[in-house]
Amino acid sequence: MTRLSSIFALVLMLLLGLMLGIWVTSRVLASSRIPGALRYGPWFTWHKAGSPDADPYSLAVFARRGDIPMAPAEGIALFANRDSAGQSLSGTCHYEVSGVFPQARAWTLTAYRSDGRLMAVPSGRSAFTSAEALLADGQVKISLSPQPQPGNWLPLLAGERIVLALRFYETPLSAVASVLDGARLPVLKRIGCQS
Amino acid sequence: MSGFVSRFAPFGIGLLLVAGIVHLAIVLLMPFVTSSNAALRLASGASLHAMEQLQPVADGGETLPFPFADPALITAVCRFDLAEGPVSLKIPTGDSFLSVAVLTPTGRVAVALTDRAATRRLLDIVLVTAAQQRQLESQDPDDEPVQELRLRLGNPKGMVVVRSLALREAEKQTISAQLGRATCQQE
Repeated sequence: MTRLSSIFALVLMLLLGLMLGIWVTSRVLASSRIPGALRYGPWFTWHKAGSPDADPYSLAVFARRGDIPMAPAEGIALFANRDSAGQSLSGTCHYEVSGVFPQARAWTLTAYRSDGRLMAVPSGRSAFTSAEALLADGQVKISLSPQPQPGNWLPLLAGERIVLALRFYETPLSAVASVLDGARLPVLKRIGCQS
Repeated sequence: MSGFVSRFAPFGIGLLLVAGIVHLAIVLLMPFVTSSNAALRLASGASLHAMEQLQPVADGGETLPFPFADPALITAVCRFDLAEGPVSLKIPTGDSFLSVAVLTPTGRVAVALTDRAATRRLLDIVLVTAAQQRQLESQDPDDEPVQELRLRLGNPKGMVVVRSLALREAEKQTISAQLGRATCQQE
């Protein structure tokens, strides 16, 4: 190899390495399957993001999103961008969040656009709280749909990609997050989609 | 074939090495990027030693002070610097959830507590450095317990984030007014 071609190979290696590094990092930080994240069914959480010993990946995820994490003393925030069957959440579909909610002082369920902003739904409602939701047989059932639904209805905006956040304030859950069983969390079921 | 491998193996290994270093560097440096990091962004707009409620930003459907904020929370922040002395926080509490988190300048939570730590519906907190804590303790009277909650911080700079939960739309004004009485000042 001539001297020129080895310099060329070195520059090419640095450039390709830089591009590969940036691409991998952007994919990794946008994913929930990374070190520091825990998954239970459709829900995932960065349970250590809000503690003093937070890992670099959790800190990077929250810094990138521009969000302030919840400390374990405050509670735990579970996120979902897919339903229980693994399909991406879409504002065009009708979903149901149901089951027994874990013990907590309060909870909120919020529907966001994928960039973390709220949807401009006509009713202005983008969240349900433990004080607002009606219970049936001790179970919570919330319908998420672009069309009005009976009971607890959280409107979605058709055409948007959705991220849900289920936050439990002051809950024993945050202390046992690492051994939490997905079966004890609410399910997120797709009922159907508009054609 | 072996000639091909021996010629391109160093190239491939070098490429992966560069990619790995770039990946680690981005992950580690991400919290220092002001444009997205909420702690840095909020701190740059907040005045020192003043409790300021974050106003929801209305922009085409967006009504949140930062991405993925819980719309049921009313948030106030106070940027502090312990270099010139301890900082006192007096935060009135009510029946609903309220939390106080102290963030380092890059957004790491140094310490957090909730309204359960309040006495007579007031969270009376003093942020101190280790030296200031020793000095305060030497001045404490021996015969009565200290009323305030002293939080010792490793980093003298940072931001306090107070979050108060309004579970019903109708509670928002009351809770916002209650949070408006919270103070953050240098002792």
